[in-house]
Amino acid sequence: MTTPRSGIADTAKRVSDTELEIPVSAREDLRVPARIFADETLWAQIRGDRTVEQIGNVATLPGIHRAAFAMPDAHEGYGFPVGGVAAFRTSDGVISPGGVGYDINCGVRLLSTPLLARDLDANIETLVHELSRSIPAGAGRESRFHMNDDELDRVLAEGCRYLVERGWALPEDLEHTEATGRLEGADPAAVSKRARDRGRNQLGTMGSGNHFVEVQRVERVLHPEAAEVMGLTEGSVTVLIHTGSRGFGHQVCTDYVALMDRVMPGYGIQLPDRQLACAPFDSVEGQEYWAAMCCAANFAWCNRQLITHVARQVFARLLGNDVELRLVYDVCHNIAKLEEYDGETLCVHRKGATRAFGPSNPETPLAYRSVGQPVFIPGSMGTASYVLVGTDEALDRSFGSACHGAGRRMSRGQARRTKHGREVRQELSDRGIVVRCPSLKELAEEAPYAYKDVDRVVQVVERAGLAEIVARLVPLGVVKG
Amino acid sequence: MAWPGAGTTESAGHDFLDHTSEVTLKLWAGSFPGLLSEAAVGLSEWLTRSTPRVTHGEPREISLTAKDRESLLVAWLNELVFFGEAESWLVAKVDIEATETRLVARAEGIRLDRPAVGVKAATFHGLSLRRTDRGWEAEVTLDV
Repeated sequence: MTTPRSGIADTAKRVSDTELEIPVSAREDLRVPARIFADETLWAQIRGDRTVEQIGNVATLPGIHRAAFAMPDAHEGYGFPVGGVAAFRTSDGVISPGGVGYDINCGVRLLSTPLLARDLDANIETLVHELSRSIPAGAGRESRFHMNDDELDRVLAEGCRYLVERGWALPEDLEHTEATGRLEGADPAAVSKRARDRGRNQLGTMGSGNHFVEVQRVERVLHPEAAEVMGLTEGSVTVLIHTGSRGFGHQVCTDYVALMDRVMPGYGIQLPDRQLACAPFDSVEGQEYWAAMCCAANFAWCNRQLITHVARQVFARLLGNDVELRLVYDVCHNIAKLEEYDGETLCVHRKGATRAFGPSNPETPLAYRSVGQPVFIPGSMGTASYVLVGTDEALDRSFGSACHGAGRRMSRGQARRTKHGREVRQELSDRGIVVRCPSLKELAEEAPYAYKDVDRVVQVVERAGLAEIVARLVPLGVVKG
Repeated sequence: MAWPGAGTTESAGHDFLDHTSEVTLKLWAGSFPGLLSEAAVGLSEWLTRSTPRVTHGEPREISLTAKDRESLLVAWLNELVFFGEAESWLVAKVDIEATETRLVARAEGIRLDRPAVGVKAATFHGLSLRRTDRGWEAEVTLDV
């Protein structure tokens, strides 16, 4: 699977042991170079599929600033590669629904607990079971949080602030959520009835695919100062929640890819891949997508917040009311944000990439100004996950971005043919990991061997100066979506 | 080649091809409307992970327009993704009349007991649609 493809990957020049550059001369249509963060091993995997061609396609889009970037976990996606970062000037650049992806504001949040893993031993099976009963997962399980149109509008416009009012979020949760759990550009009028119909019964649900809720143990602390600020100590229990905007975001993306595909010729935009469909940021269509995307981002933060609320209820019920689940942070990894660089306002697209701002950035929450913004890199189901902090240096290197996960290296079909879901479950169970999964087939598709080596990915991220490793977390129990 | 498709007619069929993070639906049929029918059957199969049951009494007529054949194929699949997820309704059998930019479909559906949420969308990524000696062929990537 790592057979190199010919094409622009052959023109890559190694800039350092963790970074390569595809020069702007590699293809006639490139506007800027492409930069890929990878060591030799990850580069061999990255160039094995169409990732490099895709990041090259991104480098052709109007108004792209500096370079198109691929993170160490990058793999082939549709339009943008997964693990792609690109910033477009709002003055003369575009916004691309395909560059954000279907799962708008898919992201990760980490909760710390005062519990020690050794005290949980006898209860872990019950705890994971109760979480799986309480948090709808897998195909088509419906929400416990039903919203009428007015309530849904408030979710879309106000994000997590509205949930504080309803008693489903703590005021301090907002400060520990990227953008405080609300993008201001949201306008529910830009959202179709179809998106509402698809998402209405999905708030507080995990969905399927690679989404999960995991109960973990902090195995190792590597940056004691940052770990202390985050309330993480070796042996303590954490909860990681990975999900996004569900059918709501999928439909927003579908609606606007179709719209931009229709109107693009009018703006004189030509693309090497139709899935990159885009419009000028300041056009009517660009602004409508921005307003709808912000709604989907707010929906996703509310989704993760409602799952947090349920997880808090489950822990309190089983382990006592004094067991406090504190939100360490919540970060998105499929989103477009407005940020300032080089005196310009840029629309930064992170598709399968995480914002990783350093200590001095005003958007880093006050609590983390001494160490940097927390970044969470979930491994594949059943493998280690990492906590990192962003660096000031990353601003210059990657628009303040780091990777988002291990990244797939095997197709779902290939993963299924490698082992049966029963075997995968048995192997996880042999390692003491409790698993709840609605489908054995999907369990096989998300098996650990279907992904890149997360340890290597985060080491390259750290060596490239994009983020610093704080702690390594290992799973005790997984509720798979 | 995970699940060879049954095909709605002798000359039509579908297959699911591997893709690192998604799945590609390969389609072939004697005519363009036949290809659109096959796309619906393939999507239903992926969403139920088996050949759908044919039931009566859940008919639906769907009309769509798009700027070209490729967009029409993608829009058709996305229409069915929506019905699967928002209304738990999937195509079992369908008759389609289509031009390059317009389709009218008369479908018999199956009603599922829960929403079909396994596909986020049909995408334009790597989309191919071509005439062949035997009719039409297409490859369309689904974000799953």
